[in-house]
Amino acid sequence: MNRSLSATGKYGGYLLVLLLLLTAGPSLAVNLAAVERTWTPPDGGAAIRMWGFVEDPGSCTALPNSWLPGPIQQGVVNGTLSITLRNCLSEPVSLIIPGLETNLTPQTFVDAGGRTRVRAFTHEVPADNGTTVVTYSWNNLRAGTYLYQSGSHPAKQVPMGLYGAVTVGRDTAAANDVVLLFSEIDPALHGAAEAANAKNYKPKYYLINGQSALPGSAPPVVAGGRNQKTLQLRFLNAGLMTHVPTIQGPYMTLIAEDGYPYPYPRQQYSVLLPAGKTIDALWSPDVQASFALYDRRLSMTTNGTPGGGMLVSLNVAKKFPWILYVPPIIHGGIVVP
Amino acid sequence: MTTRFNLTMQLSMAIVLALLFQVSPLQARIDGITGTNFTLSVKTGRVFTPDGGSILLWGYADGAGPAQYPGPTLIVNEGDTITITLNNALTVAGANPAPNVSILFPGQRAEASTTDPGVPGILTSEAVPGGSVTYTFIADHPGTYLYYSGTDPALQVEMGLMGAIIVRPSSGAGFAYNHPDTAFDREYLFLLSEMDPRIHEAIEFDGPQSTAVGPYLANPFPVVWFINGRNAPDTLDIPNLPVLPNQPYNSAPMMHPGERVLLRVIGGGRDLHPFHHHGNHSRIIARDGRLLASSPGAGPDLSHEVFTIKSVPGETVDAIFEWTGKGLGWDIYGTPADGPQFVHTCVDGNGDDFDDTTHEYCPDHDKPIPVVLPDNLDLAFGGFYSGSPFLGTLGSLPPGEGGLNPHGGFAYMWHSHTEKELTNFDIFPGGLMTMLIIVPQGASIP
Amino acid sequence: MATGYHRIIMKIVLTGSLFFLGSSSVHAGVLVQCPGDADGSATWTGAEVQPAHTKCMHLGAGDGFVTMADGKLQYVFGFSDLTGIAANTPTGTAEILEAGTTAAGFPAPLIVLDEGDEFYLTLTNIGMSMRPDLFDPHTVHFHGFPQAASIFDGVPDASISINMGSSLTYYFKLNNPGTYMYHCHVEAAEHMQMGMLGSLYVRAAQNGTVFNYNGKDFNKFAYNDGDGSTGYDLEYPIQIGSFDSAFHDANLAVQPLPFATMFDNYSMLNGRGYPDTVNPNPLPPPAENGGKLSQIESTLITASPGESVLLRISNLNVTRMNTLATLGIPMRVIGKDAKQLRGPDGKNLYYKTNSITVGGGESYDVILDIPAGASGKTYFLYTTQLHYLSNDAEQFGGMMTEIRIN
Repeated sequence: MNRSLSATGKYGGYLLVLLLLLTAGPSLAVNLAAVERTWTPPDGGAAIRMWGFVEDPGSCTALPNSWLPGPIQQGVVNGTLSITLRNCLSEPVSLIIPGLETNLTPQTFVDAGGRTRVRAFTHEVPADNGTTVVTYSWNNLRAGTYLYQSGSHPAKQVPMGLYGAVTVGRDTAAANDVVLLFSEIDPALHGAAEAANAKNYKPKYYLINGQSALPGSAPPVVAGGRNQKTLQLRFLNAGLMTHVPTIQGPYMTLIAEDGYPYPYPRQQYSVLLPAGKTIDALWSPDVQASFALYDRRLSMTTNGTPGGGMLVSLNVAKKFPWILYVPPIIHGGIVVP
Repeated sequence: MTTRFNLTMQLSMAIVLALLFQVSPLQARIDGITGTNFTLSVKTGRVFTPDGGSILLWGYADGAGPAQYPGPTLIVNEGDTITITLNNALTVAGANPAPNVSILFPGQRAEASTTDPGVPGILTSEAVPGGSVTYTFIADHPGTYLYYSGTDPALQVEMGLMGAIIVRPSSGAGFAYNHPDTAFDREYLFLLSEMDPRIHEAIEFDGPQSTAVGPYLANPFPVVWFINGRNAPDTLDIPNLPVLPNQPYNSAPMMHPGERVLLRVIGGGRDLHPFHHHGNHSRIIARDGRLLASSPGAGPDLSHEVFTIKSVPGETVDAIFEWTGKGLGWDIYGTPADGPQFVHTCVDGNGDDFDDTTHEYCPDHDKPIPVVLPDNLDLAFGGFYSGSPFLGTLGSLPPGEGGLNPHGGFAYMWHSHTEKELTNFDIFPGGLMTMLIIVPQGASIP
Repeated sequence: MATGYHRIIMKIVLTGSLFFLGSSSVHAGVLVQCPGDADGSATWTGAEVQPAHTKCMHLGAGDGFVTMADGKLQYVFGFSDLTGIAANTPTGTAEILEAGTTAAGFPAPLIVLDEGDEFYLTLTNIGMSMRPDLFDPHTVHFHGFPQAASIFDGVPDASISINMGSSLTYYFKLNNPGTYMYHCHVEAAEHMQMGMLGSLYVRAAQNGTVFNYNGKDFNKFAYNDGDGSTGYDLEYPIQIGSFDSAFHDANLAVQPLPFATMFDNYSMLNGRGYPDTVNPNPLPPPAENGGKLSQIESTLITASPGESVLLRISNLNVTRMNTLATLGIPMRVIGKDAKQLRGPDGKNLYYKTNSITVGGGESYDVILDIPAGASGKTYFLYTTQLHYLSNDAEQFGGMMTEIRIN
């Protein structure tokens, strides 16, 4: 039971409510495949080789091409999430959800010095052109927001693009929710992924939900719920660098990290979002408008050109969708008549 | 082996003179401009670094004044409607025009005025070259805030377009917020930032269309670090130095034992900085201009103590720092055994364990310092060493040593604990660092 | 009677430059000051009697070598533990200099204290055997010590540091439990990059009393919590750090030091990269050290089901912040910077998470509550800055260790 990121982003709460209704049982069983794809930068740069998770096409033929973060998985509180993974890549892969507890069966090798090292945090799907599928399960899901990502050679496979979001439930105060997944791409590591070494990681593209804003153009639009309705913002960082998502103008109420509620909510206009972290925040827009959301670490460049990168426009829809109304445009909290 | 760099020699004698003779009756206040209507202009300037170099600055200026790094600290009162007109007086190299400029006010609901709306940008309304834009917002919450460019921030904030905002509460200037637990005796601003001079050089020579700047903007690698726009040891010099025309603010905290000092710490650049304040813990009472309170009116009941403030870019932290030397186990004012000049009393009339005037911790009164200090020949001395372990005492030092601590204060380094950031280019010490001087009661503080 | 104000002013006027501190001190070279200890061993043997609530330690400051997890030999500055050698004897100075030469440990020797202790810490500057051109003084900065006196704060600019061949004894009265750290503060960007840093923590006075928390009795606590909520069964110090090998190589080769380009390429826990972090034994000493151990601390975390494990995490990295995560088990964060996470009126600010971001000079106290059914499981403690999971170019290494449940 899952939908692509873009679909969820576009239709926001409607789809989620629908999906929650359709997902009658507590279990969510999905099939994914790890595949090679490409990502085309918005600035016309050459397509970049990526690895990503997609809905399992059933074999390693006829694979989709354009890379995005893996499809959002929407689990049910106290339910079970099972992901059956096919591997269309050239090396073994695996799946972990850092914020959720499960049985890990680490995979090891012995180095030249006789020392045993872990190469994968848990059991793997072999690289056999998609023949074998392996199931990963998480029980007693806690409400919250999580990353799923490769647990095999993470220093390489995660920056190659093997990550996605898991959402479980929604805060009772929120009418809608939205995923904001931050990540980076260093093209230098993607040319020959088998030989890649992240030691000198220097990303050139900074992404939110798989998109890097194009300098000089309107930023990508993210559905921001409805005016006068509380929105749950789900921040995730699948990148390797720290980011500081900042909403221009209003304050958010930070309520949880890594799926664990804070003892007391925090009022901030910014979120410290280190590598691998997830943060849930609530926001109640009081105007129908669009709000800029950007990385205050200033990863607001696209291949070095300022004015792009980690920047989206969070569009708040009207309170009552059936009433015709032309909204003002807000630039950074400034109403432009 | 580091390049030896004598902090003492770098410091102008002006500091010592200022410390000795300044008798201002006013308590330390943060430098800035006050009012409800401000006119800021974006101009070029030079950031001077202590190695003698300089870096191209794009700075906010107070009206007709010079560009400033950081921009003028705007000090306003809770409830006031604030109007800020921004003029774009920026000039750049090359044939291309100067870029638009703008201001973002995180945490404020700012609007562009209908009479001077500027032009729409991606993040906010902007002033075109030679043009202007006027913003208004209601300062409806007290606290510490910042402002910075909303036009190509990855470039323009790096170039210097950022500054601090202080909203004073209706409770009065001696409070950080509207609660008694936020009262303070002194306050200091610590606006932390960094620069990658390669970016500034590319812009200086090629203008904003520089093609060389891209790789540096994608992966900045700063090599100079600032408090309030200055690198150590210039942080410790006096404000408004003629030789630092674009860096008017200093950072030279001083206090007496027992006082409550408010630290307003702002992440003005792009990097996180662990700001370590030697001497004692501080209590973080607010972040992003909001009191750490479990409910409105509860006061900072969710505050907590730290010895290193994790400063996050774009965020602000308010913290209260206090120091008395409580519980050290020896008398910080010396004992009769140290000499007749150290005979003193500890008078605790109110039963709080402290001398009512000096804030000496009476349970440690007349307890001798428990170890013998080595001979001067065995020691190296710092410029801020008084020559004595005792507060308010000047000891004998070899010629050329000490000299920066005329009141015999206790000195504590306040600095980034990413110690690499204590350099100016390749030279240690410098960078994101200053010294707190705790001087005895009676010694004046500028 | 003079008021405080007048007293102080008179003090300034009277003492001025007249008071000669040196008149009460001694030029003694190596000298250990430790109450009840006659021979300068910083321990109490034979007829010597340890005063109540008193601890002593003797650290040497010098240089030496360590081995990175990819086999690279790394030159370091560092501290060595000279406690136990009779320093205040006719042969003491020679023995101390002998024992302290190429004896630098990384991280520095672990310092464990108890609340209420009076701690006499003697630092002897051994000198750099591989860099005889250097005459650097050294200090110990007890990082985070509350209500510090500047004379014992170890900041060379603010007070005193000790020259080669001599000793300085620091005095600390420990009124506050928690996880601190220590390092040399002389030319800090250099001396700390070179390795002069270590873990230091102070155990709570509440230890020994029994509190029941979540159905379990504890008699060891991170803080004086009054309710057992910081209780633990096992404690492990975790010192986050990293090295820029180019900087170390330049130092050994007497080259100009590249501060501006400093970029760490070895990420470590307790002075080792993975998989050396899970080696339970001291690493074999480099031959260049003359057989002296330099990497004693393992970071293999072992526990039994049902136990609560306190991780005392500190970071003295000089180039960056680090995010340290657990995989398979959550962190319960109960302290930061040697303070219990509790508001002024008693509200607990503890929180659960899977990672903490620790800047240089920050510490966190984290408890892992091992589930009852966890026998045989392995969890991980690793950095989510995944590019730091390497030993220079060697993959499957860096800032990571294992948590093995018996």
